[in-house]
Amino acid sequence: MSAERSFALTALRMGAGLLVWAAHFAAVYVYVALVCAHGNPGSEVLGFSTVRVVVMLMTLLALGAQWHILHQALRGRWRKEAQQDGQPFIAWIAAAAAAAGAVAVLWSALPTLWITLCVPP
Amino acid sequence: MTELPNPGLRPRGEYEKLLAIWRPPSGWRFLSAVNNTYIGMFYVGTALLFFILAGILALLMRVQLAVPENQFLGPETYNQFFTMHGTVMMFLFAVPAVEAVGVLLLPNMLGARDLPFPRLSAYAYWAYLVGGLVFFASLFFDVAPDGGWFLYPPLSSIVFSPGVNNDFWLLGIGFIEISAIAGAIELIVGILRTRAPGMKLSQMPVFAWAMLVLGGMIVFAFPAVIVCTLLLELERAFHWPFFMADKGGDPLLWQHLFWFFGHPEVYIIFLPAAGMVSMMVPAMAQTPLMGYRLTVLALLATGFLSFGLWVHHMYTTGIPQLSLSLFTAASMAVAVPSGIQVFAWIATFAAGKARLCTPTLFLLGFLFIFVLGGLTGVMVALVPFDWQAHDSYFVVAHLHYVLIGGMVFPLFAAMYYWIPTVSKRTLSEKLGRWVFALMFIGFNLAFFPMHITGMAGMPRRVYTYAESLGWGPLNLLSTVGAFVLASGVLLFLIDLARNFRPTGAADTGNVWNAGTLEWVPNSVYALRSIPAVNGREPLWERPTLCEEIEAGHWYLPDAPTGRRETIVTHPVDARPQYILQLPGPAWSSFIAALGTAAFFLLLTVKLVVPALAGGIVAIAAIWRWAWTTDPGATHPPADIGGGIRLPVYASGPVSHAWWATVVLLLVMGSMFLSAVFAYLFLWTVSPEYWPAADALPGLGMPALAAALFVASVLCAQYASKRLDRKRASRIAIVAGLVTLLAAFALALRAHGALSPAESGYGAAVYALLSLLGFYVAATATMQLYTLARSWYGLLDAARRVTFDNTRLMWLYTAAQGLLTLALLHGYPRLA
Repeated sequence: MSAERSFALTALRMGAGLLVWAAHFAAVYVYVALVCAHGNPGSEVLGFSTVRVVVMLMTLLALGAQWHILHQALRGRWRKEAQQDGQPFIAWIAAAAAAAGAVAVLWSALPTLWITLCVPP
Repeated sequence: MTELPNPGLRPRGEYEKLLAIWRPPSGWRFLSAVNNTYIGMFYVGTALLFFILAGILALLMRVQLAVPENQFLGPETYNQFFTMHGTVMMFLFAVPAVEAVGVLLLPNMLGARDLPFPRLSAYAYWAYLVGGLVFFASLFFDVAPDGGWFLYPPLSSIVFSPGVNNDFWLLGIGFIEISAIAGAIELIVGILRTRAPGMKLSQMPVFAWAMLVLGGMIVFAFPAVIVCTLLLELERAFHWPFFMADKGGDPLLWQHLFWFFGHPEVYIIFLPAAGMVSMMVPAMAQTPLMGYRLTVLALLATGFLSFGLWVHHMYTTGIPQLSLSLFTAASMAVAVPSGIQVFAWIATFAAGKARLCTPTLFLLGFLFIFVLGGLTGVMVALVPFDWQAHDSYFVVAHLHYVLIGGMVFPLFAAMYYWIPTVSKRTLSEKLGRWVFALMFIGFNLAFFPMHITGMAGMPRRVYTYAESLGWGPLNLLSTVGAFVLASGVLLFLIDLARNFRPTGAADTGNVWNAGTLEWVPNSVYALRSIPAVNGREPLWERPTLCEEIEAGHWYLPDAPTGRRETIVTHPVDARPQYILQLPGPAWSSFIAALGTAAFFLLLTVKLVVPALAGGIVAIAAIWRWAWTTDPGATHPPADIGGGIRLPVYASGPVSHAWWATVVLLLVMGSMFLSAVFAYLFLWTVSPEYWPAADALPGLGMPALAAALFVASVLCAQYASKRLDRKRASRIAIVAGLVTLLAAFALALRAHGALSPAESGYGAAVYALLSLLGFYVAATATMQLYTLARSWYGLLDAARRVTFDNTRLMWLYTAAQGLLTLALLHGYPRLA
């Protein structure tokens, strides 16, 4: 495997959990901004605010991704490859970043459950 | 790797040859030196100079504020002083200082002879020095910026600030950012590709990790500030209304872009300082750092989370409540990784036996001040509290606790700690303790009362206040504290003058018994031989290592190609890949820096023709500089010891130049994303300025432009495969150049009569096209350069690094062209 591919893969694995957090954060921010500027923030699905439902779905998706990364890093291929290469550090960082990323995703998304949506404070 | 690769005595004359190859030029030619030791020391010295200059401005401001209704400084002068104080401290001291320490220390710490692009380091340094000095000199002509260090429009717009003051900020700072980005590219590639053999990622010094994260943050954060400064300059110069609300612009666009840079900037300053602390604490406690993995994780997490905080500077701008809650959550979360590092340092001190000497005192002072600043940071992360404290002296207190605590105290600790690696004498321990005491007491005396003045209602950036407000005693206390702090810095300068004796040949030795490689005795060539590394504290793990390195028993004890060299290793496991022939002293980087500075600074004062002349000089000098940096395989594979023979040339993805180009493309991509954000943001706030689908230009011309971009890509790929056939490859490069230019011309023409000055929409469209045009021009220059090398017989299927770099740039530009067309012609039809 060439130098840059192997490094790109390593870097992606180590930062995957944090990248998922960043993607979730950006997606929620952009979605809320667009709904508040041009959408219908008052709309509902099955009696629940559409915005809250969508944000929660994004959050579940992000948590699912974190779970997958965690599994890969602790028990899956990532761990095996890291051990074969004599670099368990890489799998450790990947797992820890996914765990931290999962907590950060939850922490960022929780206020969605009760904060007023589009009104400036 | 415990067996010595080069046991036995080294050949006679080998050491003298190595020394001669690395010796810097003497006399006035010393200015052409590019070695990291010299450039690093110049860099640190210049950063300190700006620290002192900005500090003097702070003292003058404190004199003004010492008593109510003071007339020592008038309001206009005061505005210029606080703007320059903040700007110089942030852009000319803090970021350059941390990069400077990296340039100075990293090669030795990583076991390299130098950073991979010494002339780039020299260019970045000279550009910074000249640009910074001219920028600062604007104060003496009463044309210094006066809109605050964040230069918010509409105050900074041409309507409310018609003079050239703010142009100095926009062009001067934009230019200095280029220097910072050049430094970041150098550091990223250096850390990833020039580590000692065997130094895996898990064995990298924490400072190297911190600098790697810093490099990544600069790559993604600084483009946002470059783009927003360009937009504001375009608005001021050509009336493109990006920030004019009555024409479909929005002043908040500036705040979003500025703070997308501005908040990570705080961590860009703090993380390297934290990295330094993680190196010093183990040496002072004589025990390895506790929680190495967690510390690395904390650095990475901070790097990511810091990009989710920018809106916490904008809580009072009317952003929807749910969005604010996201940023509050992220702002509080970022305290966690900082806390992890603080606990790691405390645990390391607890596990070892701390020596209470000057660096330790500064480290303890840092912990105390930074933790207090962190606590008030969590307070201002909360929206209701921030509404009360916003724009008050409470925020001034908070930011100084974070920045001085988080960066200046570690930097002073670092100077007392690392100066022995570059000086014949250590700094004075006795004076050092006084320096610390004065700085610590003075700092707290100056800034702690500001929490109270802020809560008492004193706003930032006021040049005076009425006596009846009752802020006088606290302000007087702050002024006294500022002078006590300054006396500490003055004492440090005296200590420096008395004891700092820089030398490229002999240093004081490992005075702290530290475990990392920068403490190996070194000279102008850095390490005599490059060791294999199997742990995080190699000097502790192998007590004989210093002697072995000095005796030339490790790798590359000589200079097999007769030039300056270092070993390029794999970025993950640090296995040796090739010998990099480093360029030596040259005037080209110095002249290129002067030309670049002239271009930007003369443009500020509207001297367009001389500015263009400066730009041409810069391009010519860069051309000259680059001409010798792709030498090809001039030497057969060379033996570095231990039976390892390495090639002396590499192209494609293995080459260090390929890596630098990829990092540069990331910077360019970030600039593009910032411009896309500006376009979409203005649509979000003022969609009424966007044309209806039937009023948009037809799709024929954009489709043709897209086809030409694709054709240009095909030319690049064809040329890449036919480098062995000179004529065919030259025709392909010329065809690619012509199609690229034609594609851009069509993309530009597709918007017909739309004027960029007409509305926010027009301005945003032409901003994206201007950026594309700049990239097309840069790519065309590189294509012409590549053709010239082909013409001179310096390009073929094997000697192809230049072509590979041009091709990467070429493919990227074409891709951005396609994305720009899709956005400009597709999005308004879908929105």
